[in-house]
Amino acid sequence: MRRSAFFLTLLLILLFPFTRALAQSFAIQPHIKVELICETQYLNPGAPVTCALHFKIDKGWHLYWQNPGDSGMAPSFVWDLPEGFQTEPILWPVPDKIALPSLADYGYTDDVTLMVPMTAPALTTGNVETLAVMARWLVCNDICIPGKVKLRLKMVVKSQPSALSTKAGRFAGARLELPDPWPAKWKAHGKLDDKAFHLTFLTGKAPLKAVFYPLHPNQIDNTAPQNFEPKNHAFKLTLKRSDQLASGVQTLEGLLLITTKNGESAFEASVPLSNQ
Amino acid sequence: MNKKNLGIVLAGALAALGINGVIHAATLGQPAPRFKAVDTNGKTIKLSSLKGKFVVLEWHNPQCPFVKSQYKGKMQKLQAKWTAQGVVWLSIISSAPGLEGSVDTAGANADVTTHQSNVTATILDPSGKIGHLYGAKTTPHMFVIDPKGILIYDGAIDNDPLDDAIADKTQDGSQYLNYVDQALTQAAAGQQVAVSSTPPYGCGVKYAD
Repeated sequence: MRRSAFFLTLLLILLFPFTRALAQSFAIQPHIKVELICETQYLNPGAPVTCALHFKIDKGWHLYWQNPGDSGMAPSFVWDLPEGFQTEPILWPVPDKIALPSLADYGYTDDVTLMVPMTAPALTTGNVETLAVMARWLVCNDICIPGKVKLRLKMVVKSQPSALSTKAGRFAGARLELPDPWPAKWKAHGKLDDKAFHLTFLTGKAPLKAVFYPLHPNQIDNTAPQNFEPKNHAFKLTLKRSDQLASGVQTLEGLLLITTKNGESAFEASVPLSNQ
Repeated sequence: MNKKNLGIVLAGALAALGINGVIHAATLGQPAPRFKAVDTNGKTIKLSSLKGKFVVLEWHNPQCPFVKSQYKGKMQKLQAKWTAQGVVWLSIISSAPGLEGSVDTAGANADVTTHQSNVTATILDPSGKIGHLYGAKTTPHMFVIDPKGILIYDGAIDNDPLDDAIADKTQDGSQYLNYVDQALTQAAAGQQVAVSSTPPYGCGVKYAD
């Protein structure tokens, strides 16, 4: 073997453990590239840190929202973290409605960053900690392919507040995609009869358009058009009842998406209902 | 019937019309929608003729990963258990021609043999008519009809969509439940079905556009 080839091979062998470690926070799977990332470069003992799974999705394919809709399955994460770490539920960006023949799902195309806020326990500065997660998902176009991978991210513990990581931009972008909290001045109420949810929203000026994405499956008929009726300082939405809704519903939870002349916004909504 | 009443009746009929003009008629506690079809062995099956027996409708697509998970043994065992007790178990494939799961009768029968499926019969529904009649959304999507013809269960096969239950406990610590097994067990014993409706999980049924 020539000298340069020998040294190159030796270099690659020496670097192999590092390339493996880098690759473990990132995986390429059918129609998906997924990466485990954290917003800060280092961990601070006792401090909050937001990590996430970022998915890059092949064109024509989609992942699902926490309510996948008529079919599909939401991504799920099982964390394997150093003892004492606390995790909160996934922060779900506002999904798209994905229309299929006779069905409607809710999900994401192109790419999505699913953030998980966490709090680190009292860690020892200077240590290298491994954050690991088993991620599972279903990616579909006309067919569905389940995916599962364990990802690992090594992070150094430092005592001073950490600088942002090179991935911080993804987190800033993802935060813009989250729904807004329900404005304190707005009101909503509704009634459920054997055909539909009849909702009234008092939101100040009526928007140009409004739709509702339910948080729980089997409540509304996801394919039925939603009748939008603007009023003076309010609007009504009629959501056809799912033919699988067997019992009453006390509160209809979901996202209210409105379009005004300034653009689109989505709000987390919880509408109390009277059942008839 | 005067004009106003006729108008109301027509409006009601139109309101009941769902996709493709087929009436979505599957309502829990009500008579299950009637249908007539020819199975993959050329035999005519009429739901109305099955009164006096429990009937299970299983929406099927052998390529769907959720169906594959069930067919590693669970589904076949359940089919064997209940068909041995006189339950009529119908596998229904509503995939449109050219879409995933779409097969001809030979293909469907070969699949039954390969997987040692214990269904009573397989019905091909490429137009999606029966699927739409029941509002079948996923594969699998299960319906249980009692001997009086009443729909007593509509929903998921079980509470383990990720197929990762171990020793009868699902990953979140709860008891593994096969809703179809439970519904049949309870109804056969004359008891109220505890869980009559759950969100069905699986791949979307591949209906035509």
